[in-house]
Amino acid sequence: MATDKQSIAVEIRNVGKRFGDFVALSSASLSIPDNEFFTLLGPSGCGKTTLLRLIAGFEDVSEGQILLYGQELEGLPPHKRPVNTVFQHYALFPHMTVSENVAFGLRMKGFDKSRINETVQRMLGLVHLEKLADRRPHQLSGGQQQRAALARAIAPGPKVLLLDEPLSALDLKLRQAMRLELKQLQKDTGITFVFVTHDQEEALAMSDRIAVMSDGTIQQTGDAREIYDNPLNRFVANFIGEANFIDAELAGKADGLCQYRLPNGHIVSCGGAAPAPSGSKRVILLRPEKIGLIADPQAGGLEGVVSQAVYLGTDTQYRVKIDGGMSLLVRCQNFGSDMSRFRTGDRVGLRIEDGAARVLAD
Amino acid sequence: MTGAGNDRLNRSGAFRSVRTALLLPSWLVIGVFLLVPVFLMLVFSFLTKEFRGGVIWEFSLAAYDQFIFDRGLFGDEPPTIEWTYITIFCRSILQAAVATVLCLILGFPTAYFIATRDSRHRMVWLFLVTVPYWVNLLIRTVSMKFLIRDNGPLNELLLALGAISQPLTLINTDFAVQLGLFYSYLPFMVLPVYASVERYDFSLSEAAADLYAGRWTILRRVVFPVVRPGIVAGCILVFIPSLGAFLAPDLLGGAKNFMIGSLIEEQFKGNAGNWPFGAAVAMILLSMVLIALMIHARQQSRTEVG
Repeated sequence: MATDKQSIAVEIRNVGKRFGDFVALSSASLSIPDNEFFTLLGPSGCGKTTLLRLIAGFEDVSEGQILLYGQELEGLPPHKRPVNTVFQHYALFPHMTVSENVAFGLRMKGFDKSRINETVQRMLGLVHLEKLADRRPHQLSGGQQQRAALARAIAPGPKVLLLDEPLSALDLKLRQAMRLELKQLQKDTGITFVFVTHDQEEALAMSDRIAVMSDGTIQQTGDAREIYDNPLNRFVANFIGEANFIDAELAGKADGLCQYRLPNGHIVSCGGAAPAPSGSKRVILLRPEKIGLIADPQAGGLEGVVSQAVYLGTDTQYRVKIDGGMSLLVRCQNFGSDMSRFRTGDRVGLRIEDGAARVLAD
Repeated sequence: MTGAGNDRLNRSGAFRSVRTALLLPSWLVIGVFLLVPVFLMLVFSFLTKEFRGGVIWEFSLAAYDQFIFDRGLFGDEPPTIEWTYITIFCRSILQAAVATVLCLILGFPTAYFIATRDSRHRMVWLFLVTVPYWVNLLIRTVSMKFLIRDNGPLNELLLALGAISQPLTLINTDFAVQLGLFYSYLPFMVLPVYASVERYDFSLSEAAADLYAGRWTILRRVVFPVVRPGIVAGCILVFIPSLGAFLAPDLLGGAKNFMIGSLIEEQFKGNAGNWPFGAAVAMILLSMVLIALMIHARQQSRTEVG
């Protein structure tokens, strides 16, 4: 087993990047263990691509350090860093065939001919492109180009693979298939993946861990469940999944859960509470799928009227106007029977399990 | 789709006649000022020369014969190969080739520099490249002659700097001709190369760097091959006019650095000329250029397919 220091593939220490007056990234810190599928998730302009380009060496850090297996990367040009990149628009060399593209990095590393040929064949096999080896990039479909770019980046055997929104140019079906392929590829090769995306579903489906970014800062780092179930702040909660935000006031504690009073006087038990004085105001998060709708208005704790119902196939999304003013988004799975179906104007009861709501830190 | 198609079919007659009317001026200009003169030259090259210039309307192969064979002063000796004109051809090709290479060496970095500036500044740089070309070619060539003559500013500067101890002989050399041609046609290299580099996707360079290629390797293995069409276009645009140029060789090269352009010019000047011979030389030059372009076009289409 490797020592602790070696098992951290990428370590980002207080890294900042400015372009003139614009702060693209400010004091970002991360450590990405060896063999992890790590995702940088955020809206466009949040600094995720900048961070990736800093690791690759296409940009120089303004402050802080980036370490790769304990080695400081500062001052190393891209061609001396043992990382490879899959570019958003693939950047395949148009004047070379697929196999020449895949061989490029191996040639640059000065491998001998037989080793290059053998590796190229293996890589093309890995991404199922053996039959298209002699095609030029413009003769390939989007998905095939994507796989060629992947093979080219993996061929030289990088320690860390950087992927810059590699699936964003593909259509939905292909994107979903490629998710699984990418995940499998990461497992098979054991390479640490640093994956950049703005697609939360993609991030949840593939990643071992996720860093959610916005405005040049890392908002939260954790595995999919942590980020979804226990977001630190409003931005994270809103960016991943759907959310109801309710202003509430701390009323007391019971069974280790904090009791918060909603504007209409109803009390909910919330998890994830930070210690706070009684009466302090906080925002609580209620995921739409954690609210139950019941036909009997009195049976739940809250009562309301369905103001909108949108059928979405696997589930139905309701907007329910609660007595006392606020409006909540509720998502119910569509079971075989139509017992759980409600129409606009129906009076319903809402049930919130203890601990289903979370208190946000800000 | 079908509706639009029918519509187009219905209007196609009118559309076609409008198109013809619009294209007619261009056709006329090309026909009258390009095809007719070239055809005239072709005809002239097969006629007999009149001694004070002009032609006699009598079919003759004498012009082409004169280019290739030496039959002695009175034309009655057994023919041997005439090397004079072939030498002039070869020298012209060499001079034009050197000028093209010089243009490429200076033009590529210039074009690359301009294409990598931000878009607001590009137009300014492009404008600056074309500024000298607002001055007549003759005047520019004479200025070049002035600059590089034995006691001209260039020599004075080098002497003053102590780089040389006596003036360099630059004027009336091959180098002077190459320099003149290079200066005359540099923008013809810069502009097409710029157009190519401007469209170049710089993430390809990043990808190459990411795959362990150093700067020179990126330039050689990725940038050059991808912008090759622009480079080829630039080379053609410089090489062809250089091949037929007569101003630079006349003014900067002196008598011993005769080039095809000058040879042709001589044949049509004053009373000493030989119109059929001048026309024949022009035709030989034209066919060589056309053959070269056709070979290039063929190779180009082959690489596109492969």
